[in-house]
Amino acid sequence: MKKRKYRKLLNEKKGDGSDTLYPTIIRTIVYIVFFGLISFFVYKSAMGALVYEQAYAKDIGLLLDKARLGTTITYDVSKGIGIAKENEVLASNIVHVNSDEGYVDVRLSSHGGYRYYFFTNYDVESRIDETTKKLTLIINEK
Amino acid sequence: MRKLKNRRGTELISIWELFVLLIIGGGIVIGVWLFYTANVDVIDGEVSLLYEKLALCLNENGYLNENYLNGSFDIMKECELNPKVIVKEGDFYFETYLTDIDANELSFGKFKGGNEGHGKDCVVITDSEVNAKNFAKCYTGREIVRYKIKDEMLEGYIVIKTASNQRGGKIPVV
Repeated sequence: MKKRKYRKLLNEKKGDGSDTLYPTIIRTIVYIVFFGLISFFVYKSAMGALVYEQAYAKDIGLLLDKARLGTTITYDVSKGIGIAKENEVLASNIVHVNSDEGYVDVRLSSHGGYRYYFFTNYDVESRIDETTKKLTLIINEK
Repeated sequence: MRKLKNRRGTELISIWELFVLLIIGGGIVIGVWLFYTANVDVIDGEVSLLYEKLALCLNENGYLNENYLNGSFDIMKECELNPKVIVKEGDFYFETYLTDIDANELSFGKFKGGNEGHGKDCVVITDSEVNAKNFAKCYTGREIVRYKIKDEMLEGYIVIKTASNQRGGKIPVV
């Protein structure tokens, strides 16, 4: 009788232990997955094309507004090239400067791009060097 | 309280816990989305640059641009401004006029360009000190200059007002 009682008690204890451990593990996994997904979303948003397209277009637009005739501007676009490669956009198609209409287009994905106007009336030559990952803007007379 | 249970009937995660997680997650997603899709405002810099551009071309080392008072002065050409952007796009406005040394506006030597609606916005903002969200942003400054009228060298100010309401924008998929 004593042996039976002891075994019964042992089995119950074993059952109780796994019952408290199992939900804790599941809960921990759910939390890790949840916060992992949130972190991934935040990272993707911060490194997304939307942010860099706008930042580059406005930066380049203001640089061209400030520039004087004969200036050569070198601008780092390494992060933009990385994002464009992920989205299968050629580096040569990232920045397009239209001197006649006076705007700069930046495209880092196939989902459109961002346009910003500059008011200076110069002929702007732009090219991207893929080895140095730099954009060169040469300001010439129209 | 309803609870998600495993086969043995022990609690895994409660509905309230899931609800709290969803609220936190939704809040973070909405916050991040709003933050990264927000428009970066560079208009203050832009109006200053337009002012600087005009000031550099009209004030030549303390003397007014020698062509300014000629009847045929083309401010767009002289100051290297793109008329297609300033006039057609309608996001910019500028105004220049001469004053005497006591800041009285002269009846000649006034030039305007761009969207005059922005000029009116600037007057409203200055007069009422209202901070309107979608109004153009304005900058007004003056440069002391010397200018010649009928062989007489005078001193006064060239007043330059600039405004911009350029927000930039997405371009469609090609």
